[in-house]
Amino acid sequence: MSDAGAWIALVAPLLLGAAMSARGALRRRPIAAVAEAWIDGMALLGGLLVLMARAGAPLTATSTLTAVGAAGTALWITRGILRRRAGPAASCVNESSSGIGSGARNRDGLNPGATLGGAVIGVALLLAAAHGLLTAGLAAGAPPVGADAYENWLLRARVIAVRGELPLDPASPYYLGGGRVGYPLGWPMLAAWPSILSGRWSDRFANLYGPAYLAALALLVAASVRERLGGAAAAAALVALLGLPLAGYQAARGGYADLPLAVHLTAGCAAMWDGSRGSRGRAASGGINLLFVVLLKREGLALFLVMLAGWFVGGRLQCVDVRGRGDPPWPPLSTGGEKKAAAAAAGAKAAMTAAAAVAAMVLAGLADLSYVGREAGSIGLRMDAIRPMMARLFTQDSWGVLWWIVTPLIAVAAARLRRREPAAVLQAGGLIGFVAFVFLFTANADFAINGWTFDRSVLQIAPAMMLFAAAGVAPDGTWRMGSPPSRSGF
Amino acid sequence: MVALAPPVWLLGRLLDRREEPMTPVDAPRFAERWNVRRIDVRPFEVPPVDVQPNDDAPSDSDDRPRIATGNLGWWIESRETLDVAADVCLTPRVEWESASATAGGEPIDYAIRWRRRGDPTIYETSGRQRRDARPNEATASSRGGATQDADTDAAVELPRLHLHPAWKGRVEWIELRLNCDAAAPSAEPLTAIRAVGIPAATVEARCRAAARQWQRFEPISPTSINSILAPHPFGTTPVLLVAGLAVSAIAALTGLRILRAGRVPVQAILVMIAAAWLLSDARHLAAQWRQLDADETAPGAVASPSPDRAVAGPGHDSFGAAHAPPPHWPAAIRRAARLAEAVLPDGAVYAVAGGNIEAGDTRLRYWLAPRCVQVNVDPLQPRVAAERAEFVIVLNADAASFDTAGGRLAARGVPPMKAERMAALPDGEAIYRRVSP
Repeated sequence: MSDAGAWIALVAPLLLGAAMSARGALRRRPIAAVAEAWIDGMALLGGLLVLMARAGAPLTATSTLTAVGAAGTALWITRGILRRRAGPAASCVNESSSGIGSGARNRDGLNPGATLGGAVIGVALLLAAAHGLLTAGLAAGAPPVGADAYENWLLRARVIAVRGELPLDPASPYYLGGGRVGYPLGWPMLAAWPSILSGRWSDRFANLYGPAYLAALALLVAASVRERLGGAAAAAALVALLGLPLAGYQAARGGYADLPLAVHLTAGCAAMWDGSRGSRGRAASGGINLLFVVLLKREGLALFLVMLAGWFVGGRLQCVDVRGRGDPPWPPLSTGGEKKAAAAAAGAKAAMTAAAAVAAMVLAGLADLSYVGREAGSIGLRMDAIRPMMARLFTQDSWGVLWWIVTPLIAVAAARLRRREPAAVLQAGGLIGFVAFVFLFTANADFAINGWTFDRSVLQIAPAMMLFAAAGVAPDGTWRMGSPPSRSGF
Repeated sequence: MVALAPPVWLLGRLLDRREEPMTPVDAPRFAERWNVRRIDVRPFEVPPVDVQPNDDAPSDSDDRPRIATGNLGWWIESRETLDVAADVCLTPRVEWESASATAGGEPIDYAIRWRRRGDPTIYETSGRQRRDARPNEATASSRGGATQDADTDAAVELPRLHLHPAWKGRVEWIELRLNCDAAAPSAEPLTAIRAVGIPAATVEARCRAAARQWQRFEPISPTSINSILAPHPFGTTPVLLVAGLAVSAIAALTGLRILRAGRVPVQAILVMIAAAWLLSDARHLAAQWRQLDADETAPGAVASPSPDRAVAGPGHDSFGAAHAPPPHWPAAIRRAARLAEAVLPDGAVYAVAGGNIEAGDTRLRYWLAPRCVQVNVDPLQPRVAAERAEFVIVLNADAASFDTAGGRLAARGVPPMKAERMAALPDGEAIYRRVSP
C-alpha cells in the first residue's frame, strides 16, 4: 500500500469518530466537529488495536482495516438505533450548546470591536500559520530523537509493525514489544499502524500522528473558544496552543506520549463537561477519550480516576446546590425537582462511575502496575521541590508567558463556575492537584528539582486548563442560554 | 503594595546569593570543603596523586597561602555536599599564581563534572579557556631559576558553563580538572593555587549572562526535548526576562494610575501582557527556524536520497529497511548500524562495546530490532544476559581489546571470550563472533 497506507491511517480515524458524532454536528460546528471526530476516532482506533494485540490477533493491514470498518459500522448502526429511540425532536437538538466546551450562541459575548478584533485575528492567524509551517517542516525532515523513542515507545512500535503481532511470551526478548513493559501500549500501537498499512517501517510514518494531534487540538480549542468568546480570542488561543514549545517539539519529533495524552484528556474533559449537562453522546465521547488516556501513559489511570471522582462528586453537589437558586434546571439530574429523582440519578451516576473505574482498572491491568506500589512507598512531603516547580512554571517549554495569562483565568473560571459547573471545577482542580501531588509528595519530586518531566506533566493538562479558563471568562448568561440538551446526544 | 510586589520579587531574585564562597587554601575549613590534588599527566594515564596543600610550595617572598606544583595539571573536587544555586553562581572560580607575566597567558584546558541534587547523573563538559589574568605588582618570585619582575594573579572561570543545559538547579558536587589533557600539555605549568570557590555572580555578570542566554540556541536533543534548557541568571529561562519586564512595567503603570486616577488600566495591562507573549513567541519561532537549519546542516545529514539508502543486507526484515540511519546519530553509530545490518544473521544476540548503556546501545537496538536481539540488563525490560551474546559490535578501538594471536576479545560489559573478527571498518568499528566461551 506504500504511502497510500499513511493517508488511510490519517483519514480512517476521522470516519470512525464520525460514526458516533451527533447528527448535524458537522453542519452546526464544522471545525469543532471534525476535530472531535478525529480525536474520538483515534481513541477508538487505539483501543481497538490494543485489544486486538492483547488477544493475539495478527496485526496486518487487512485484519486491522477489517476491524476498524466493523467497529465503525457497528457504531453507526448503534447511533441510528439510539436516535430512533430518542425521537425526532431530540435528534435535532444541539446537544453540546450548553456545555463548557461549546456554546455557539454566545460567541459575540466579548466582542473586542470589529477593527481591533480583525487586527488581532490577522496577526494571530499569521503567527499560527508560521507555527504550523515550521512544525510541519520539522516533522517532515526530522526523525525522532527523544531517548524514550529508542528505548520504549517507537522501539515497541517498530517491533510490533515489523513482526505483525504483539509478542506475548514473557520469555521473549521482545515481550510486549520490548522496552519497559510496564508502559501502556496505546501509543506504540498507534505509531505502528501507519507502517502496518504501508507495508514498511518508517520513522516518518511513526511520527505521522504527531502534527495531526497538534492540529486537531488547536482546532478543538480554537472552535470552543470562538463559540464562547469570539474570533479574536479564538485566534489568540490558536496561537497559544501552537506556540506551546514542548507541544511543538513533541509533534515534530515524536517518541513521547504526552501530547496525545494532552489531546485526549482535553477532548475528554470538554466532552464530559458537555455530558454533565445531559448530552449522552458527548458523555460517551468523554468516556472513550478518558479511557484511552489510561492506555497512553501510566499516569493516565490516576488522571482518569481523578476525572471520575470530580464528575461524581460534582454531580452530587449539583443536585444539592442548584435547586432553588433560580438557576435553570439540570435536566438529567434535577428535572422535576424530586429528591427521589435526584437520588436515583445520583445512584445511576455512582453505578456508572464504578463501572467506568472497573473498566479503567481492567485496561490498566493490561500493563504492569507495580510502579503504583513503588510510588506509594515514597509518599512524603518534599518541600525542596516547591521552588524548582515554581521556577519551571515560567519556563519556555511548558507555559511560558502564557502562565501569566491562563493562571488568573483559571482562578476566575473556578470562582465563576463553582456553583453552575461543580464537576468541571472539581475536575480542573483535580488535574492541577494531581500534578502538584506527584511532584510534591512522591519520589518524582526529584524530577521537578532537576527539571525533567515536570514540564511534560504540565503539557498534559495545559490545553484542558486553557479550555476551562476560557469558559470562566465567558460573559454572564452563557450558562443559561443553551437549549435543553438532548438526552441521547446521537 | 500589590503593584510593588513584582519588582521587589525580581530584585530579590537578582540579589539572591546561594553560593560557595571563595575559600583561601590556608583557611581552616578549606580541607573540609575541597580536595585538591596535583595530577601527573602522562599519555593515557591520569592517576590522581595525593598532594597535601603547600607541601612543596616554593619559597616566595610573598607569604600568601598557596598550593604549589611543578607539574602540569590540577584536580579539584568538592569534599562535602555543596548547596550551590547554579542559576546564581554562574561558574566555579580557581585563583592561582601564574608563571606568566603576560595577561591571559597560555589557554588552560579544563574538564568539569558535576552532579545536581536529586539527579544521580554526572554531567561533564570540557574545553580550553583563556585565563583572566591581572599583573600583581606587589609580588616578585623566582621559579625554576627564572626570575620574574612581577608575578601574575590569575583566575580560571568558565564563562560558558551557565549555557550548559544541565548547569541548573542545585549543584551538590563538582570536580574540576585543569591542564590535564595529556594529548595537549600546556607549555606553561600552573604554579600555586590560592583559593577555590563557586561565588555568586554579580548583578552585572548575571545581566550579561542574560543577554547571552537570550541569544542562545539549544538544538533539540534527547536532553532538551525533555525540557532541560539552559538556565537563566534570574533562576529560570529567558521567558522570565520578558515576563518580568512586562510585569514590572505593568506594576509601575498601575501604581501611577492608581495614584493619579484611582483606577486600574485594564486595557494597558492586557496590551503589555500580549506584547510580552508576542516577544516570547517570536523568539520561539526563531528557535524553530534555527532548528530546521541545524537539521539540514547536521553532521552526516543526507540532503537527498543517496545510493546507500537502498542497500539491503542479508536477512532484512520483511519490510526491507530502505532508509539510512538517522543523520543526527554519531557517525560511528551510523557506520556500525549499516555494518551490522549487512553482517549479523537473523536472530543474532549481540552486545555493544562503547555504546550509551551497559553492554548495549539504545540506538542500535532500535535500528536492528526485531531481527536481532541486544543484550539487555535493564530490570524493567525483558532481560537478555550478557553471557548469551554471540556477537560483539565494537564502536571504537578503546572500547575493546582483541588479541589477534590468541583470538581473545575483552570488551566492557561482556565476559571475555574467544572470538573471531567478522568485519571491520577503517574508523575502528568492528564486529566479532564468539567461537568459544
